[in-house]
Amino acid sequence: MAIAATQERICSKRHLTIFHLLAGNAPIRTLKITGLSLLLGAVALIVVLTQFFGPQHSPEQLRPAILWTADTAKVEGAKASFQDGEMKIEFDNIGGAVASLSMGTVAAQDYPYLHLQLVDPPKGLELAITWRTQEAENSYHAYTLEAGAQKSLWIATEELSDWTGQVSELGMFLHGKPGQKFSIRDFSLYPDSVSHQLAAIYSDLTGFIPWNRAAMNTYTGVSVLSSFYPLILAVALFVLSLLAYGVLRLINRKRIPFNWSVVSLIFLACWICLDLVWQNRLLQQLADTHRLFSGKSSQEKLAAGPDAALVKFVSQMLPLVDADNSRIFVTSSDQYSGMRTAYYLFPHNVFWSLHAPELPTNKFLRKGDYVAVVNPSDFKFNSDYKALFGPGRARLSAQLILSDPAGFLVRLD
Amino acid sequence: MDALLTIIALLLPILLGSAWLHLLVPAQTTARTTVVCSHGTLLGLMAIPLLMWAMNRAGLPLSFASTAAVASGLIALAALAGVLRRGKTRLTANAAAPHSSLSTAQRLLFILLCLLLLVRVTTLGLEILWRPLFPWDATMHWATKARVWYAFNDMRPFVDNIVWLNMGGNGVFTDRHPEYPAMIPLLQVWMNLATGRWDESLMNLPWLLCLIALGGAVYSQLRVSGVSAVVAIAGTYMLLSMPLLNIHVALAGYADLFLGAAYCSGLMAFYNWRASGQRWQGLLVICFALACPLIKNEGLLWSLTFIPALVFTIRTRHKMVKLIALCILGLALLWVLMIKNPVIVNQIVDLLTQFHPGGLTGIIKSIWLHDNWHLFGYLLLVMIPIGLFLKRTHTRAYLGVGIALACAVGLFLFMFLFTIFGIGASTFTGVGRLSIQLIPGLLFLTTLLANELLTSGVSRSATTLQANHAQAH
Repeated sequence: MAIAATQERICSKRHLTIFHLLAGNAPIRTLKITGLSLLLGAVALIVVLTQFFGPQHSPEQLRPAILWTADTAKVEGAKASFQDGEMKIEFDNIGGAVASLSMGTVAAQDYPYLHLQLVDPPKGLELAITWRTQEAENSYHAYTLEAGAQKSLWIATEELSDWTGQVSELGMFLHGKPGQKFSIRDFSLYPDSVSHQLAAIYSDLTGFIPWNRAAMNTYTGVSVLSSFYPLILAVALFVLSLLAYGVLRLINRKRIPFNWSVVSLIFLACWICLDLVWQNRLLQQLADTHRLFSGKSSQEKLAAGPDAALVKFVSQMLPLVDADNSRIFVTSSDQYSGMRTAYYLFPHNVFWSLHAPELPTNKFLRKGDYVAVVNPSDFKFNSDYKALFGPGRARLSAQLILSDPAGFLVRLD
Repeated sequence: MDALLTIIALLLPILLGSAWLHLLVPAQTTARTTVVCSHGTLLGLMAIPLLMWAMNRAGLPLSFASTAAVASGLIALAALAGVLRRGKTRLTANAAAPHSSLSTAQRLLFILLCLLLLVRVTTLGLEILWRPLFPWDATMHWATKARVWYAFNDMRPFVDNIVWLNMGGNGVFTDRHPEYPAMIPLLQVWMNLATGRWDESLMNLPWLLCLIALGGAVYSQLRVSGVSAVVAIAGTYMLLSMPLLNIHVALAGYADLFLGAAYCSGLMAFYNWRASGQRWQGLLVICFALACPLIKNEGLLWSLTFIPALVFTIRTRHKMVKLIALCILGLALLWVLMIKNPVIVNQIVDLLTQFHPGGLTGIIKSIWLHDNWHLFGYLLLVMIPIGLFLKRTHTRAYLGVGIALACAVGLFLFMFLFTIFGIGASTFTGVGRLSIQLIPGLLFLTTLLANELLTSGVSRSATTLQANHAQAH
């Protein structure tokens, strides 16, 4: 009540209302000060990033860019022709190609930025950048793009752990489906510049990596190629905007009194900026999820998902297993594969253990039990002996019920 | 038909909780509709599994029809009670709409944040609808139970691996954590029973509902505690936009979001109960405190944090006596535990290790480097010290919620710094998930402190400017 009364008193004095947004009345001036502080903060952030966190070089060391042109571009393993400033590629039966940029031998540090631009990249196209350094013979290095092919990507090469010394070859492996068509518009190396650095940061912030198994535990906001954590950038923007606000106050204290609302609005604006990066990533993920699963039934989704091989294995297995009172032991050296297979086998009476040995000791096993061996596993079935062999234990007489690339199923005798 | 049944399965918990809460919340309560619907939804999401559990214990099979019938009966009973009560006491008009006192700029900000939230909730909802069950633990020990119980229409027992082997698997099932509570799997069973088929996408929709209800609960309790609509929506936006919280909805299947929502709701109700003395808030505290251990085992720890909060805030002359009595009781229980069951004590002692520096690094990275919580870690760093120096915060209401959260954070730090669970922080496998259980409550406290700061600034500015004004005349 006291707060409301105070606010009301403030509102009743027209000339007292200009300072408060979050707790008071409409404050165009507060918004202007906030906006100006944020603008100055953003400019300061760009200056700080480019002047203090850019690649180290002296102006005379700047080399010309090595551009993707008809003379320097080369593609092997697929039909390719350079037209209208881009390399048009059509996969043959193999569904892959190797593209390379003729460049001679260059110092890695002279080229801190790599730009990759594809036109109409097909969905699911996998891409790995490869390069050769001259520190040792056959020192080939590769980096697989975590998100697959993207339309445009600026890479800060210093984030590639092996981009050092003298680089003599640069190329990329492309892998997709036979007959796919697309173009490479740019695959060039660039020297240091403010615009390239900002483009690389923008690429980092707008990049996308699909959900992975660790997604539930932490969200770093970065990929291997990222130069900065987005959270740190947002904190820096907040601090620099606050500093800008402080400077504005110093310049004109009478007209710009200290106001917590400005501080709050600057903070909220930085939060929203960071959140828009996250929202963009969520939307890209949603598009990917839609591509993979939309319009499919529950079973079809599983068949299209990351566990497709395991789901296929289990779906073949289920009709072969006696429904009543049968026990299924799932064994695998790979925790994830074992765990997922066990899950798909429920509601059968399934045994799978996270930390115990792959299979319980023989005294716990009995005739009629099923053992689902999921690859990779130390257990092997020998059809000559009709037995299951495991490291350091007596063999188990068994019949092979099913064999599949993902594993096999036996019934114990 | 599936869509209709799914909607009914989602509506019933909302109606069940809201109908009963509607009877308790006074008509003049600020943001009453949001209070009733959000808290009601959370309570309903917890009540439906409890109902299923109780009916199954009574010998009835797990069934959508019978559970829905009982739930509908309870809703009807609440509605009848509401009608009868309305006849006796005429409800007064509700508090003014949240927008009525907002300036144009504030209103625009309010709308902008609501739009951002709408986009987020839609994105997460579509992700749930399209994606089958994905996360690791969900298929290791949550949905395993749901699959079995759904298939047998019965809550078949789950036991430890060793026990299963010794029993030959007769009549029992096993998974990684058979001792985990049944609430989350039963929610999944509920959704699948509704459509009559196992659907790994639709069964995760309660997670979206939980997120929306959590947002509504935070907004409404902030409003109840006197925070302006625009600050309340800003706090709600900050909470619902946190990436790790969003991930636990998009990749639904874990219990941490529900536990975080229950603990936060309990804390918020505790704060407002101590501030206003309203009984319905006290009742909410009890409900949510009891719900915590029913969602996940560590919920018991969070429930226990309400005890010191209560002890330190009750206004009686015998407070100290009670505190001493409680300490003696605790020590006596510990002594009995050690005498009767040394194994448990040994197990606890075994968990303890020396200081785990990797755990500290993991916590720092998780909160102040990774983008799990956006800028919240930094907000916390700034607001807690400021809050300690603000005179307005030196009240019993703040003391209670502050002590509860301090205990919870203390336990959190102890677990990751001095026990073998430190590995969960250094590898980020546990620290983020456990943080989800505490962050909503911390955000509520932080938003209250921020509001105190903003409104104290208003008061000070007003005083200064009025003085200047008087001088000028």
